[in-house]
Amino acid sequence: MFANFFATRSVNPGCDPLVFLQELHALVDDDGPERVFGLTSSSNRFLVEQTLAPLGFRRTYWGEHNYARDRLYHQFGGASPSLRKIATDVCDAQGNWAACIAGSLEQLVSGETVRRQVSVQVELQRPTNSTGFLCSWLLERA
Amino acid sequence: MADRQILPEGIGAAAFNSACDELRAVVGPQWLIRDNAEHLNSYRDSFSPSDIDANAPSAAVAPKDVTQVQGVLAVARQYRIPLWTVSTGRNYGYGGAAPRKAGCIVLDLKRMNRIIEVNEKHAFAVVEPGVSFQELYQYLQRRDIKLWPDPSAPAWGGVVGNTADRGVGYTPYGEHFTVQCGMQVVLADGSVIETGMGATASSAAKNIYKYGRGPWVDGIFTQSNFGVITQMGVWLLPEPPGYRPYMVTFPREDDIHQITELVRPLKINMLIPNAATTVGLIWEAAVKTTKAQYYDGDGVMPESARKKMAQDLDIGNWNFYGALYGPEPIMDNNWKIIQERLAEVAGAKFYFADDRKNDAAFDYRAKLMRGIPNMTEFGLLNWVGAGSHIDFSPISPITGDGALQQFHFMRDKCHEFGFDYIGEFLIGWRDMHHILMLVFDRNSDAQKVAVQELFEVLVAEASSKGYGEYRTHLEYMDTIADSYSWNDNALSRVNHALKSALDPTGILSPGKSGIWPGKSGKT
Repeated sequence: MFANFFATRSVNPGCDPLVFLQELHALVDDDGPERVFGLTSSSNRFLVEQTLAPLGFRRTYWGEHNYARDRLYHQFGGASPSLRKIATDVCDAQGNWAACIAGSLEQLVSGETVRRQVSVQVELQRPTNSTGFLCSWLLERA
Repeated sequence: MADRQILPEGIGAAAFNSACDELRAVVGPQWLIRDNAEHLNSYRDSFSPSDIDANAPSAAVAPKDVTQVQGVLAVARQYRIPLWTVSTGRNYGYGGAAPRKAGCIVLDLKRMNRIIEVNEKHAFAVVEPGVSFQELYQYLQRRDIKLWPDPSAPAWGGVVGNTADRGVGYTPYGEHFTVQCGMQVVLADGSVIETGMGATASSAAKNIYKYGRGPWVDGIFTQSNFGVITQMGVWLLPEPPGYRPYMVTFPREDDIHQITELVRPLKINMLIPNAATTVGLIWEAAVKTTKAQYYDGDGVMPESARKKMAQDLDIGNWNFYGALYGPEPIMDNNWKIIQERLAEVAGAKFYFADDRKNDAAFDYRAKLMRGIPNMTEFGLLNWVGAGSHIDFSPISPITGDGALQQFHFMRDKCHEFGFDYIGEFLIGWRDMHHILMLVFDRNSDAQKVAVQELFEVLVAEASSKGYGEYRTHLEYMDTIADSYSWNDNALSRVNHALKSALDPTGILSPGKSGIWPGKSGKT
């Protein structure tokens, strides 16, 4: 739904986020979208949060997805009552977990601050093109 | 964020509310940030390894001009509420926009973002504190002005804030305070001064001669809490006729001794005109890969994994970055000398841009050395997944013995506490900055505790060997100030005397650089 306004994709870990941050800030101004969703590195999540905090955006959902020793550890936090179900669906999705989260977006929207936390894990090897740690997140305008 | 309202020490809720009302009247309601928790949270130290409530502000206030700054100071004096001044507030790793002490109101100068002047003939700019390196760069680009800024590694850093904190960059103008010229400062009593030639009636030579006449005071407004800098002149580098960045890799850890000995004369004689930077293996690797891609276990990355990573990425245990500037014959001549010298290190390999295509690390350093801001270096925090960092930054002479000694004890201490050594050496005019980035997993309470213990050990060890830090994180400002103790803390007493004279009510950034208001000068 957010791609109606703006979407960007890069799979290069060394990609300079500067241009993206500038475009995002320009688009998500006072009259821009109310929600911004991402699947990024931890550092890029931080940069986006710092960029959007002055515009009143807060994190209402977060996921951290960590490959370690042939397992994938998912941790979720958010206000959505569906968080447990989403976590289960993500486990079932195995290697397609990112698409599963994106598909659950409507259920993650809440407008409330983070309250619940859920942790799950599955047996799954790190794909060779993965850095091993990714964050999914949803920022909503307060 | 804590649910309870954070207040300045000694200020009741009623008085604080009243002060906030007055501040709203000065800056406009939307620029007193108190009730918007998300916005106020952005003034906290997100990277802190300790309790972030310890540095939580009570509010933030963002004036748009000098008159409003004076209005804010008047309210602060009346209520005796301490302010913590930031420009763009992006000094992550050293505390971000967070105050040294909880309850301060952050005096956020981001709205003062005018580029007052760019003088092409004399190659300088005059900027307000809210101007970032990126904004200055874009201003110059859009007008096709052939002058380069000298950006800090992250583009969103403030020109004034970084210079006032004595930050560094990577072009020949890399030592920012050296190329600063003229300031406008609002003192705690609300009076405004211009320094240097700006203090003359006509100001005809403002921003081109640093010193004016009599005592030169600009230095006392850096890394201090004696005033609020509201304008600054900075010299810009005229675009040279040629630019050629290069990288030299060295295979062994202990090569840092020979590298440093070889680079010193090249740097002091200005054959290498810019900040000569020798980057450690993991710093070099971490913007383009992660630890998990080479090592899945706990603790320090083993030697075997480090070797494999170095081989895969075609990098060394040390990676030297420099650049040639000038007409082609001069660059060719200088390169001949530099290459000849550095080739004395067995196994040295030489690269130019064409040899490192699609190399994110080379690319961002090549940009920095030619004054192009970027944000790539932030990526190295992903080395450990959910990474945060604090930086330990001692200064040493440019000697092989000093470099090797610092590298050995810092690497060994890092390993002892379970952290990878992520460091680089920057050679300035006569000194060497050793930047150790202590990257830790912010989801790990054990690592947060360990990194704090490690930092204390590093300070003590460095101090015992005669090394002081040039800059430090909020948490350690007192500790580092205490290490500058020669002659029974004589320097500290002078700082305290200046603080008492210039800010007798103690409203400006209490605790900055270990300088506290009050009789004792301590927290």
